[in-house]
Amino acid sequence: MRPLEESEIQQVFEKLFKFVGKNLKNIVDRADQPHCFRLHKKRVYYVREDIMKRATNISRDQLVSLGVCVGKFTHSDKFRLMIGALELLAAHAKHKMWVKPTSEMSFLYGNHLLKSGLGRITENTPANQGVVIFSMSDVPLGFGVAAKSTQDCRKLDPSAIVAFHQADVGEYLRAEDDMVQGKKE
Amino acid sequence: MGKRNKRSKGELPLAAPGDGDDELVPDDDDVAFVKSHRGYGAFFGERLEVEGIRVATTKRRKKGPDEDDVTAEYERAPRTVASRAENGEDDAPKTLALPVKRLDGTVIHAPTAPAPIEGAGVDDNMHNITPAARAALKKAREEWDRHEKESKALDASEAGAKKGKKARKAEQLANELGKTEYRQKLTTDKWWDKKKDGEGDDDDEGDDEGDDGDSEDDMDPAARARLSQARAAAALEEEMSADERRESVKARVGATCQGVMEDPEGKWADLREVCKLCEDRDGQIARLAALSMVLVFKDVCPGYRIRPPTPKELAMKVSKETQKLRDFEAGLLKTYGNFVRVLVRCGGGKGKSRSQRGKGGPDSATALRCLCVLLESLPHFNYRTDVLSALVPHLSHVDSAAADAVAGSIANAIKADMQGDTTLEALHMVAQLVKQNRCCCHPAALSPFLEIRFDEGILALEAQKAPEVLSRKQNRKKRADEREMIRKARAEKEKRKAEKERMKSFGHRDDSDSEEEDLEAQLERDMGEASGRMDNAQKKKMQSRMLEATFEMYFRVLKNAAGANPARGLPLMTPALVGLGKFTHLISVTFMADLMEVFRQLLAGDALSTEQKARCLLTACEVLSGHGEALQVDTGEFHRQLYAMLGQPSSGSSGWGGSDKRDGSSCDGSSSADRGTLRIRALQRFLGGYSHVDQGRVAAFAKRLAGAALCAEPGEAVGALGVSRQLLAAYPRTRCLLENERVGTGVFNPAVDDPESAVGLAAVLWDLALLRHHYHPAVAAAADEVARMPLAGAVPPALGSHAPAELARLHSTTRGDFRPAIPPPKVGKRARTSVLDRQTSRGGEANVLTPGDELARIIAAERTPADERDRLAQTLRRHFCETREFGVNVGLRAEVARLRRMSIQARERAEERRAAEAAKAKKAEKAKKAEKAKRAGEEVRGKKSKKKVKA
Repeated sequence: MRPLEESEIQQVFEKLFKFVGKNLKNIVDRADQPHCFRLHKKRVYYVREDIMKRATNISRDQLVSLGVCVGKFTHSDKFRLMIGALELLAAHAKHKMWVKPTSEMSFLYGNHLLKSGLGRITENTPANQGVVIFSMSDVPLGFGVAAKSTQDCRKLDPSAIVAFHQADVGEYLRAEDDMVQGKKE
Repeated sequence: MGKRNKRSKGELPLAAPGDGDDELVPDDDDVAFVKSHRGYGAFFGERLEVEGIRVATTKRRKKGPDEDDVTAEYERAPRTVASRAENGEDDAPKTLALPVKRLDGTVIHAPTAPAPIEGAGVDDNMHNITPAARAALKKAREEWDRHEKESKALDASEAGAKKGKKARKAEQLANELGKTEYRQKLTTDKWWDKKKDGEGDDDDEGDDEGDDGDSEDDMDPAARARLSQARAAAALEEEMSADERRESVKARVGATCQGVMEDPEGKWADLREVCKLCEDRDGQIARLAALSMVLVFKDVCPGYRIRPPTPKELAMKVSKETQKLRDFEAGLLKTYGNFVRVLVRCGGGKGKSRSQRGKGGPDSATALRCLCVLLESLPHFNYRTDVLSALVPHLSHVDSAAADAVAGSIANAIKADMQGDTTLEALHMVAQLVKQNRCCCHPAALSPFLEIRFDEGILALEAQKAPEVLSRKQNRKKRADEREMIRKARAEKEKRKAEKERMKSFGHRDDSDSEEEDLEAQLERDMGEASGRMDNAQKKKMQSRMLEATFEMYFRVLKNAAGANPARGLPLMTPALVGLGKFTHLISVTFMADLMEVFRQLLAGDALSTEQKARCLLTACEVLSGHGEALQVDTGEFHRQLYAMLGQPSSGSSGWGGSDKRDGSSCDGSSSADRGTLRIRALQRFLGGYSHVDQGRVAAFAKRLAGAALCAEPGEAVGALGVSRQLLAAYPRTRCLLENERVGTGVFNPAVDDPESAVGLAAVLWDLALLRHHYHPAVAAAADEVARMPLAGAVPPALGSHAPAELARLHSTTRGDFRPAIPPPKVGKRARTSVLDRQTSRGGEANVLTPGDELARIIAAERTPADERDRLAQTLRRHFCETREFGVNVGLRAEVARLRRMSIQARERAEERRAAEAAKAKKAEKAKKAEKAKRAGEEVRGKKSKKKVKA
């Protein structure tokens, strides 16, 4: 477990910035309790500082996880957000999409979000912007990338994709093994 | 002399056309003489004519035998006889053969000119006209008689000894020159004179004078008589004082207008006289004339637009009736046009200079009113464009009353407008005005267009016809087809043309197929016009043009407000927003994005007042909800604005800090009292309304609403609490605000103006606890209601069935009332009061402040003459006496009370003193006793010692 390096932190923040915009500031300097980012076994964790301090007592190979796992660095050293970041993103998201109840399951199985399933969308969402996807009762389901802007969405035909899938809460079941580093092995 | 001369020249035609033949009488030298000086003596022209009313017949008869034109005499003869019989005049000729000089120096030459009016005609007409007019005429005649007597007296005394200088000169000339030559010169002179007079008239009446003469020639005798009678009356009026003239003109105008209304097709020509009066120098007369003209036109004008007949139609031979109708139409149109021109000239508003407005004519307010009435009652008639274009500029002026009047009349016109062309015209004009003035117009300018009725069915049809989506290939094919079609049509045309040419060269005459076709089409169009029906396509075109113009205007206002240099005060903003809100369902989807963008800019900028912002939000909400799109768009930006506005302190009565200085801007009848409710309405629409909102956001709103209610005016507080109750009811998860437990992560941040990041779910509604002790019972009840909501499950509807906005309006204290009414203070133990207070509470006040019985009776009684006044004075005196005595009495009582108090005090003090003395006396007695005892003891001791000594 170690703090992120300059290049790593830039990558992480860039990804997060796509979803939360200027609210990134609120993530880094939390008003209630200080939090920090830690890298452990190529995974990035968002941890409360007191927990982080306690975690120092545990040896590296013994430490399975701490705090919230927001993503991981791939083999080619690219940062990828994982489903664990959902809570963080949902709390501070700038652009949101709401899924109709009928196509909730489709999304939770890892499919892209279609126009027919789009219940609501934040105004002024540009294309290729990170969006957090909610159910109609405001339960965060996952996140992705907007395929079209809000304006374009209006004229889209129902079978067109409006958001590309990145992560959804179904992964907790589907990719249970991948949740924690080393469990697969 | 000069003055009168000028006046008469300006106003009157010298002689009616009827007297042309008499002027050519060659023999009579005197006649010739007078004729030769006709031009110079124009000042008495009118008098000659009026003289003619009475004298002409006798004169002519006397002259009859040696007159050349026997046939004319013959024609006139029966009427003359009749008139003589009627008038009962004696046959003695009343000639004034010699020139007369009057006291004021005017020379009256012998009135040898035949009268322009046949006396019989006038007298025949006397029983046609109304009594008022008859009276006026009679009066005028009497006056004339007086003048005549005067001049007769003069005539007797001076006997024509003095002739005018010019007259003498002319006589000399006549002696010198041969008769014929002189006559020749005479005729030329006369011709010149006549021409000149004619010109003068032309100047006065404008262009219609030219054929006025023509029409007079072929007028029926009755009309001619009426005309000349009117002229005679006008001539008479010249002599009167201003007041008399007004009365007389009033009567005349009334009679004429009545006549025209009774028989418009027969008597329309009379309107010209009234129209002339509209340009009178005397403003009052012009005003009366204009107002009555408006009424007449309102009544008389046909329900269709008059179209000038084509040359073909003119060439056609028509029946008598048609001709009459045609004449009527043409004449009416001309008169109407002149009248409108006068009104437009006078009602030009303040923008025009005095010279532009011209001298004569009604004042601008009257002219404006007339124009308004014309627009409202004759929107279909000709010259509507002129009327509108004169009215519309008033909307940009500062004069609020004028702008309101104009807006009202335009609104009425639009309301009554079925075809839509009036509306469209007004729209274009106002839009142009708005454009030119850079949106700096009176707020009333846009209000008329709220009345436009858009036919949604037709417009919807158009909207449904969406452009079909074609692939590139299909597109190309379609375009090619179109091109082909156009090419073919063109080729066909060419071919036909060539063929025609060819045939022509052979001498073949075309049987004008196309012309016939044209005629048929035209006929069809005319029929359609007559039936007042529009086919669908036309209607659709009109409607869409109207819609386009309306929205263009509104968007211009919005864009201007959002632009770099907005109009000062944004006067048109509120009406534009109201209008947009009303026609929101008609806004094309393609505009929506732009519109929302403008709204966003407006809300982000600080050009708008808070009230306008609220209105803006409301409109945006209406626009969004009105569309019912398949795709719901989350309006985060608007929510943020609303949230930020809620955070701003609301200042007292005006609610939401918006103190609106411009009174005119409240155009949908929302008075100052409703401003607080405006905000509530916006809130309700946005949150409780159509779309689903984030829970966190809702929670933040609920919290902020409760906080705003703490410092808001009671009405608004009730509304805010109502809205927050609705929110909590609709989103059950947010009811955790009512609990002590913390839900969700983070801490509520009340300082952030963004409902998303404020972490509303972590807040606690402690404000309710304070609000339950609010001084206003309604607010306290509302807070209690919110606080008692169940934490889970469905919530029963609120006790009152009112919407929050309605509640807010109901409980608003901005109007100065309090609901429920404040109970009067309880009468408790009587406090220590002054004597007077005690007096008044015993009913003394009634004695002091209400007048006595008698006084009241007198006041109630009807107006009093002199003796009653005495009684009144007496009673008043007594009343005041009593009042004074009462005052004195009060003073005396106070004095008595004071004295009594003093005496009590004095008595107490005396008693005290007495007590003190008594005490002293007791002491002294005691001391004395003690002394006595001592002394006694000593004596005893002395005795004892004595005894001892003895012993």
